[in-house]
Amino acid sequence: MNILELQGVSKSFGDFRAVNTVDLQIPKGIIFGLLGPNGAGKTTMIRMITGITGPDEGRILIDGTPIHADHIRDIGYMPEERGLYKKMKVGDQLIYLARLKGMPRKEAKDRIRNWMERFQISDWWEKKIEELSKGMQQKVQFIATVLHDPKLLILDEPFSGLDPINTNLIKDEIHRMNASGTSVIFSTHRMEQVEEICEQITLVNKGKLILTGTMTGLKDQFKKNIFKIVFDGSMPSVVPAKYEILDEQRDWVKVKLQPEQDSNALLAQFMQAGCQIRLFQEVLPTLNEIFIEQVGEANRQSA
Amino acid sequence: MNFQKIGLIIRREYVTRVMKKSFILLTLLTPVLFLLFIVIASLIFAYEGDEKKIIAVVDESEMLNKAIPDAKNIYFKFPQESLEQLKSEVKEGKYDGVLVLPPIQVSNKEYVPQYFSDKRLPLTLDETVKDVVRSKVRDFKLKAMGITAEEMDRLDTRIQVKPQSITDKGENTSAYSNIIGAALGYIMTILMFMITIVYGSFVMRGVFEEKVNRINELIISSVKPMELMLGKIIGIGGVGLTQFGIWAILMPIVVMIGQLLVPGAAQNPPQMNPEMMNQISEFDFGMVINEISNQNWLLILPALIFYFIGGYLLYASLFAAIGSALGDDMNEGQSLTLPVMLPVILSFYIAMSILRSPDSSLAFWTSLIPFFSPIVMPARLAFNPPVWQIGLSLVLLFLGVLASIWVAARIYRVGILMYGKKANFKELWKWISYRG
Repeated sequence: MNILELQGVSKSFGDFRAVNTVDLQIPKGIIFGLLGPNGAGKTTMIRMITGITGPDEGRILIDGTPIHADHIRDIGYMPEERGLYKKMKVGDQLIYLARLKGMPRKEAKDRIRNWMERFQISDWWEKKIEELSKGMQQKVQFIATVLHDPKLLILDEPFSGLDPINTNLIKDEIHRMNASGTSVIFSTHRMEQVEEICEQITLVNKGKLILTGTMTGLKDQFKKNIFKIVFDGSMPSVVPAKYEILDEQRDWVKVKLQPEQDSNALLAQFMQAGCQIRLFQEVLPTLNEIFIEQVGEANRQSA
Repeated sequence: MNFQKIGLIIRREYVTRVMKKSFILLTLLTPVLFLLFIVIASLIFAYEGDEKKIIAVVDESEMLNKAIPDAKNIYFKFPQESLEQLKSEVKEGKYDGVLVLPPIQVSNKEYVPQYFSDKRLPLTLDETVKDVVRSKVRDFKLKAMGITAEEMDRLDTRIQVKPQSITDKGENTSAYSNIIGAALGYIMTILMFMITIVYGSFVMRGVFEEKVNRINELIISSVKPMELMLGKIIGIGGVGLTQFGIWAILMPIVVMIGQLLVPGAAQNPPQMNPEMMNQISEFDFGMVINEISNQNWLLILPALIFYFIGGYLLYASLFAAIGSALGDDMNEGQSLTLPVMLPVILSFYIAMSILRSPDSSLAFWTSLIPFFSPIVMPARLAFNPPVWQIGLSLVLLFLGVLASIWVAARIYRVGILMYGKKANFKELWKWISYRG
């Protein structure tokens, strides 16, 4: 079952095609990464999913049903451009935002209390937003996003402007909510954050999806048979003769294997030469490398 | 449209504004400042200087019978000394000046009393002397020509043109109709003008602040932009009603207090010469009341309310659109606000000019065009315009409001999510044409 499905979705602004016939399925219960450079069309896709704008073509299904006003309660959205009413009190503000989502006042109040306790900010209820520090405001912002307990959490560059403590706090909350069944879509252009959090990703460039898959699957697909060996002793002379050395230092070497070459055989060479092996590891491409390679290729093709 | 959510937005817009200290202060202080203004202004008018002046009068014309009524702080003496002696006494400081009234003949077309002093001729003295001498000269001439005061009175005739309608349908207006109509129209026009400009720019500022605070995207993931815009406009409209309501209650109280503090200040402005007093006494207060109560309030009041609401919605929605198109710097917005301000200001001037000719073709056409009608038509209402014109004008206004809300919402939904630079009109046009 998919929490979100995009079927041939397109959106243009005048002559500019921001999203171009996108098909995408996001399974329920995972943390999904929506990756791409600035201006790739991520925010436009998200705005269509959250119902802020409608697609020109195609269909969007949330939890199996075409997008509808009632879905507002199912989605928690933290936009990239975010803020709060500066002159409003924290409590009033959160109640207001919860009620706009359609939550009754009483229920909203209870949930806000719970969240404020969890973040240890219970005594802020009567404080105005403008009296809070930036980091404090970010906590309130996060509560505003999740307090209606959405099925689908959409976070657009959630960590931009966050200090390390809040980043960890919010990461933990994302994992906790995900563990209790919330699906999460994560939009960012910062790859290193995605690698540790997301199970599946899709790469967006110029309004099109150029790559979709699981984290391990993609790394497998784009690995280049590169192995790193860390050892004590001197490198056996047969290795530079038979293998392509990419990089080496006194105690380690990076080797690229040809398709017919076998990693076990490489390791055996070192062991036979009496080297003490400290580490033998396949070097997988980082998401950043895959991203740059794929985007570069896509741009070349379109050029 | 989700009316429950619009209700929530209206409530927030209303409550946060009405609870603001600045709002409470402004609403309560304005009447107080107004009171202060009345009191100070009337005190200033009543102030005639605290310097005592003693004036010696040499009456060569012998008209005065040695008596000029003393004015405030000015005392007239009739000493026996010669002019030369008096002049030296002025130098010594016994008198402030010497007034010489030369002999007079009936044939005099001009009469020039002289005032000897090294100091300036005070304005109050000048006027007091002129008033007294004028009536004395008149009496003197009447007597010399052998005309009695009664005969003179009979020469004065009060003229009043009384309009009489020929058919039943004709307008049965009294002489005061035009003045009263103009006054009522003037008040209504000023009110409309202020409401549009003041609360319209409140709406613009509110939209702009939401944009700068980057809260829009969060909000419109819960409500439609149209709902947010309407909620905002209605909420701020409610704030305006509250403010005017409070003023409508406080102002009469303030005026009453003002009259208690400065007795007579309001009714009887000082420094008024008898001619002006005469004109005022001709102004029949009873007829004014009569005229006001003769107005067709059953038609005017509901029509006024519709024009208030319509005019506010029309302009506030345009101001909302402008606010959404502003960049991060509000001061850049001049070029965008001008096209909205212009029709408001223009219709104010049109309204002022048609107060003199409320049935002209300018009045007719501008009171039909929705941009002008909310300000122009209220100016005409007191002059009993044909009912079909009011009806047509209101229908057109209603359509105009729908159109302007529609256009504004198209701009607004795009504008509130655009950050950075302000938009130009070409971009606004593109936004209007964007789909869904």
